[in-house]
Amino acid sequence: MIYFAKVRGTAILSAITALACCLILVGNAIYFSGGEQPRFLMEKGDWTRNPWWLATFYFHIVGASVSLAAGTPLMFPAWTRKHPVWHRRLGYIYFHAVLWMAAPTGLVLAVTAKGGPLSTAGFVLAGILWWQTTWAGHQAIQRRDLPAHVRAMVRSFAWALSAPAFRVFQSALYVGGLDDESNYVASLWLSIAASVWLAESCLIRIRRGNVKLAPSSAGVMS
Amino acid sequence: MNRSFILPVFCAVLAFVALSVAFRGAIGRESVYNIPQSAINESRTSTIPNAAAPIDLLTVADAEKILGTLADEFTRPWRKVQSAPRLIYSRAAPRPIPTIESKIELAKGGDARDMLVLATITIHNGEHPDAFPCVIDRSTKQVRLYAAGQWQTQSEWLATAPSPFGIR
Repeated sequence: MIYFAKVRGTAILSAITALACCLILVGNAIYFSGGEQPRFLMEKGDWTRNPWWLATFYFHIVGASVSLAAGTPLMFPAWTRKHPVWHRRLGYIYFHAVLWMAAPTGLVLAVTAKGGPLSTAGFVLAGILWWQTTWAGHQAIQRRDLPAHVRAMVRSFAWALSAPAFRVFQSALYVGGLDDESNYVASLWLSIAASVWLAESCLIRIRRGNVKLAPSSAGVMS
Repeated sequence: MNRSFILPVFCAVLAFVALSVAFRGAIGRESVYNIPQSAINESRTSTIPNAAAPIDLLTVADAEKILGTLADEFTRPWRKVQSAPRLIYSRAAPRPIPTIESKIELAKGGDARDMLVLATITIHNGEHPDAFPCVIDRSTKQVRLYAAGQWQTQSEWLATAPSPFGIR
């Protein structure tokens, strides 16, 4: 994975990240099982009686799942070099899943986020930056500006990875004994910080020339 | 804007509206079939007895059964959350929800001709127990409970059922 290129334990870190994304996809199936209402929805109380809120929630779940599934292979430069056509196809899916499903619905759901204004602010920030970086990545590749495309998409997918990061932090802080309310807010902001750090540290290594990228035509969207 | 943009945006908007309409229908159907049992019971039992007809007094065992059902209904939302599917690797609160229990105590030493049965429903949910004194009219089968500084009907009391979520 591009984020861990030229760091110790690249393969293990990449495998853990891919596994974390898979776990989210498997976990999201709980919302489509048709059985009892999952606990996260119960925490939302009366909002689950609002059809617009429910549609927004399910749109977010589907959009975010699609973006994680489609985006993960795109972050492997070797795979991109080998399958440029598939890179374009998956990139197209990722781009639209983020711009019209996951990010805008995330912004709407931020208003009803548990944890109060601090959570709302965190989700709004993440939603806006996820949308903006994805859009910038598309604009860059339309101009055939590969370095700008890579920069934007590395940042964009790092925002997608804030979802698995959140769950890791939340589990760790729970084991550490933090109460649920503080845990939620702390995990959110820690996952935001982790996303920024992951993307920027990777981009610094790219700028220094430590990481080799795909040939120029690989990421061009049609 | 080219076609590669318009088509996905159009599909997304269409899917969102279709999903909202589907949920609106599903929620509407659910609320028709989901009239609380307590409300039905309350309307059945709140009739004034006919003065000419012999009064069918509620037995103490029946009164205990009514209170048991009521306490069960009161703790149902909590138990529903407790048994809800949850994964540790999710955004749901990770802390396990403490169990909730109810206990009914009927006043001893009453006369068989007494028109009222006195009792207490005690709810334990991990922290301190909450005790609710209650009175059952043996002729009308109506229950009144004392909570939050006033006497309440069954449905008023059930509306105050505890939730394990401190935050939303």
